[in-house]
Formats: sequence, structure tokens, C-alpha cells
Amino acid sequence: MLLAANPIGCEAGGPALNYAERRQRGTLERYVFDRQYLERLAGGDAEVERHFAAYFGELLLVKLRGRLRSPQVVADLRQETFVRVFHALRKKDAIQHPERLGGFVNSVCEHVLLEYFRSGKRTVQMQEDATEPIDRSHSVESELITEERTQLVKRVMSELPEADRKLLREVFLEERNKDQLCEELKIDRNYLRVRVHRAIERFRLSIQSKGKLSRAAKAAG
Amino acid sequence: MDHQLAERTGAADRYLLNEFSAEERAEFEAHYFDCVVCASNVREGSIFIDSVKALMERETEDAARDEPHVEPRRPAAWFAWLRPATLTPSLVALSLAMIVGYQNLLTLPSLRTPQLLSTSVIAPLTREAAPIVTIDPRLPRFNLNFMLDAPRANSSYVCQFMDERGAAILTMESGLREVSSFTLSFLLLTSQFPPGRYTLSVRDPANRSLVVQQYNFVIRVGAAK
Repeated sequence: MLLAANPIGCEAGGPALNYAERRQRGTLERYVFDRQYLERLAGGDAEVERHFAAYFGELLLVKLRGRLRSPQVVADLRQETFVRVFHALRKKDAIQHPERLGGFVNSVCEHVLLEYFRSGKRTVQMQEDATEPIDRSHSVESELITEERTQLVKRVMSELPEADRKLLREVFLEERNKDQLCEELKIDRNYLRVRVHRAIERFRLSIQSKGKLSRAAKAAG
Repeated sequence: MDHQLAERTGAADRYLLNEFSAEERAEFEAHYFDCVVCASNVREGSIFIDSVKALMERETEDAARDEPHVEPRRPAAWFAWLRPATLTPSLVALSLAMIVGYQNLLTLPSLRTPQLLSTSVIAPLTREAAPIVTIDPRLPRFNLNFMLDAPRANSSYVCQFMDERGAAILTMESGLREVSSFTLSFLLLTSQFPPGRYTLSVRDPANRSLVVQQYNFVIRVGAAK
């Protein structure tokens, strides 16, 4: 089953609301990973499936992109990870500790990666009894989220000093060797990390303020 | 790794900056898949980095597109040379002057003019349609980048461009590489790639029938993107 991965952002705790209400708030509240969550996921509950894909989809993307260059292979291995997790969920008591569902997903992904590197195959072999993928990946909501992020990042970038903008370009776009860059700028790796962290923190604060503004507007409206 | 250690050491940022060893990476991944706060830090950091790259790529492309185009100077009137006695040598001299003038006014300046190279990278054969590469016909060269992710590292690779009929139009050696994952960058002659569909095959030099990776792309002419 191919699941959409449209993460919005997570907040810990809070009551379990339906997906539409959480989407309006601009956040995706975290479910508690307990036995009930696993049962609903295994049972094909659409809300829980969407949360699962949203929560783990991007984490898997970040993990896999750190090891693989090909976007197609990344997409294939992420899909294979989801398929195997769902296959395991349908077996009784396959996951002994529901609260460690995240660790289980990570382990499955590690196995999929190892198999891929050992086999050197160009395609990923889906399990024989895997259910047919359903593509829920493209929706107006996901497009809105991407544009929203872009606007937030644009604002953050405009508030950064020119030196920090230049640094981000050289580190992330031009992928320059960081040791050489530090030598040119006469800074150490710790300080380079601090400057990158500063930019990311501004972005995180923007997301949080935006979330608060949305909630305030909703409450006032 | 526990959460306090992750927070104290700025693990999420170090992870996103690829500063971890393989063991540290595995440890942190095992942690953040179970930790809401660290997962959020990784997710938001990754979103930020991707968005920054996309924004900056767009800015670079916009800047390249907005570069002013310099019109070539028109040759001076040559009617005074039209006398029978001097027509033939004049025509020969004129032809030579035009050839040299064309080179000096158009070809060489365009070679000397700084040019922003495209940073777009073409992935191996995918399920989607072949990517479209728009090239500026006024420029003598254009660049293409290909993402290579080979199953094992070869000392070098043989790269062969083919047109849609399967005819080879250009074969090059990659030079010494000894790695399995890297970006192959080419600076190609515009005249050698008229609009159409092309394939790049990357092969093992020890066994040229073995295709390590293959790419499809389409060339179109227009304002460079």
C-alpha cells in the first residue's frame, strides 16, 4: 500500500482530533504509539494511516537520502519499508512493544538498505503477498504545504545577514568541502554548525509562530 | 544515545551536516525514530535545507535568464568595393573579413563571456518522463549533470551519448574516479545536440557491454533554465 507522506509538523501530546481538524490547525498532533494505534493501523484506519505516513515518511526520506543519491531508489526503498512494516503489523504480536514502533520502522529500513547494498540490484523486489500500492501522494494540501514552507524559508532568509546566506549557499547548494570553507572563512567546524543552527532555529520559530497565529485566528474567528 | 546527549551535542544539526561517523549516524537514527523532539528537529532542519536549496537554485536560474543579450555589430556597407577590376579580390578579401569578423564578434566573445552553469542533476532511468533540458542556442556549449549511484566503485567509467535512433554521437572516459556515487558533469557542444531525445549510457570500461547506469533526457532550445 503506497501511503502519502505529507508531514506538516508535530506537537507532542494533546487530545486525539480528527485529521481535518488537525490540518486546519496547521499541525499534525502525535498519536500515542500504543496497542490501539497498531490495531487501527493494521485494520486500515485511514486517519491513522495518514498520520503514520506523515510522521515516518519524511524521517525515512531524510535517513535514506543520507545514504543514497538516486531519488528513485530512495522512493523505492521507502515504499518497501512501509510494505514490510504493514506486513509485520498484520501478524499477531509481531511488534511486542508498540511504544517502540519508531525503532521498529527504523530497523526495517536498515534491513531494506542492507539488502539493497548487498544485492547491488537496480530495482527493489516487493514481497509476493504485498498489497497493491495506492497512490495518495499528490493532493492540493501537499502543494499548499510546500508553498507555505517556501514562503517561510524565504522570509527567514531575508532576515539573515548576507554572510549567513552566502554560507548556506556554499554548504548546501554548492556542497563545498566544509574544512576548506572553514579555512577560507577563518572559522572552525563548531562555529559553522552554530551559524547553520541559527538559521534553522529561525525557521523552527517561524513554524511555531505560524502555528500559534493560526490557532489564535481560529479561536477569534 | 539518549535525548539529553542529543540535545547537548546538537545531534540533529550534526546529522543534517553529515558530520557523523557511520556508527554515530546509526545510533542517532535509532534514537530519533523514537524521540518526538529530535524527530521534529531533524524533519524541520531537512525541510529548511531543501527549501533553501530550491530557493537558491531558482535565484541562480533567474539571474542567468536575466543576463542582457548583446546584439552583434552589423558589418559596414561595402558598396564602394563593387568595381569590376577589383571585384574578385575584393570578394575574397570580404569573405575572409566576414569570417574573421564573425569569430571576433560572436563566437569568441561568447566563449569569453562568463556563464552560469546549470546545477540541475539528471537521475538514472525513472518511471517518469525523460527530463527536458532547455539550452540557449546562442551559446556554443551547455552543461549537463548526471547522478551516478553504481553498485560498486570502478576505477573509471565509459560514457556514451546516443541519439534517439541509437546512434552513438559522443563517447568519453570519465577519468580516474574509484568511487561508486558521484555527479558526472559534462560541458557539451550545442551544435552536437540538436533538439531531440538522447540517452547516456555509463559503462564499465573492463566490460563495455555492462551498462552501469542509463539516463534519458530531451534537449529543447529556448531561454536557458
